[in-house]
Amino acid sequence: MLKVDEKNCDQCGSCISICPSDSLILTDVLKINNQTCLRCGKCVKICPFGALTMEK
Amino acid sequence: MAETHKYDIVIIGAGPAGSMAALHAAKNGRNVCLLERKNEVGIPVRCGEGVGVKSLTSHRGVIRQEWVKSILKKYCMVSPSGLKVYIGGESESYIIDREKFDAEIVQDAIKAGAIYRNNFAVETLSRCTDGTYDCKSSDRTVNGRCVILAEGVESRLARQCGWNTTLDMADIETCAFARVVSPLIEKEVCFFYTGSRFSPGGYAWVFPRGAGEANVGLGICGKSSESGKAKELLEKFIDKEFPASKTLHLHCGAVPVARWLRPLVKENVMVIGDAARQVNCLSGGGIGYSLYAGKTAGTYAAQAVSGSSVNYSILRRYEKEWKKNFGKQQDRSYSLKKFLLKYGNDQFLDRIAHSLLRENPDKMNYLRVFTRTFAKNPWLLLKTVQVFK
Repeated sequence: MLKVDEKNCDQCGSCISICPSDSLILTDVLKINNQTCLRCGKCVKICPFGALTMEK
Repeated sequence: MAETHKYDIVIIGAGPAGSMAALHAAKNGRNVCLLERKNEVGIPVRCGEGVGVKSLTSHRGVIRQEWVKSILKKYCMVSPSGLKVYIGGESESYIIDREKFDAEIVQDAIKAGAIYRNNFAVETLSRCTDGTYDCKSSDRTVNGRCVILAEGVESRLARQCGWNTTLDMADIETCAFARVVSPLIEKEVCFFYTGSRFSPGGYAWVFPRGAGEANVGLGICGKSSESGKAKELLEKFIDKEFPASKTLHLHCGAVPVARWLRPLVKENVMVIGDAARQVNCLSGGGIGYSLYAGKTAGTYAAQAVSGSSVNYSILRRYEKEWKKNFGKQQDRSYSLKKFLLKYGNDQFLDRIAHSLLRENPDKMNYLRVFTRTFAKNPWLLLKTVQVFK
């Protein structure tokens, strides 16, 4: 499951721009749709602040 | 749920592109609504804040002392092994205060008659049966006959309209931006540091906002990125270049370095700015392009909605003009970026710096950098031709 550490997230939207399944959205916080997430891990790699983690 | 307000033109995103579009659409007498996800525009600043004086003057139209922080006349490229190549000022740049700059365009748009709604995060954009568009947040809806998407690098709503705006990992620079205070910061000179140590597939920059204070940041190619790497590298870079300095803030963000989005107009939706990948892929600069795209899209959108139906061929003029004035230039920057990603290793960059050191910096310009490079490395010419094919 993809998880965001809200304290560390800078709300920059980098992850949204590379997500192939449109599973991330930024409103007042970053929201993740784990139903559609493909677990490709691109967002984890791209996050400049290391705020995203993929957990089993 | 509150009632749905109807507008001629709805613009999503109040950065420089979106608010310029709102300003010009409203100036032409249209009923315009500008939506912004955040509470305030311009902050946090995820930008080096550099922009060419020429493009700022011609697209924004006004220059104000309140937001011009400094004027840069000298540029210095630092090679991976530390060789410094100075390039004299053939063109001047400003470092601008984005917080004030962005807020002022929004204020101008409001003065021109645009309605501004902040804290409005559009989650879905859908076409109604009458051909208009509903822009929905969790608790509000705004309806527009024509929509201009200026949502930044995310470009998520464009996907809902059928565009493929998912960036390839090679076409994104993941960046960290800091504001640094240090007595070591020189006024008037901006530095570009190349090399894989701090910025694989990108560069690190020092843009002074005056003596003693600078925007310091770096970008790395998405392919070389790891979780948290951009921030980590920037902190190391600051420690090395500006020991005992003070970091006022550190933010992160991404810059698209892809070819501009094609088409730019679909049905009655236009895409502008970072969302349309209107960024110089070599420098990562996008303020000038965004101002131009916003102004052009806003002006044509206003013309296109003047009748009872939206005139698609007028909307399309925005794309034609963009293509003619800046599209080709942007395409070239993309080809060069691809070339540098492939061949621009540390050894190569050092060799170029070496051959440029013997040049007179005042006579050095972009073109000379290239001709010199090719003279020293003739095989490059062949490779470059292949890239452009």
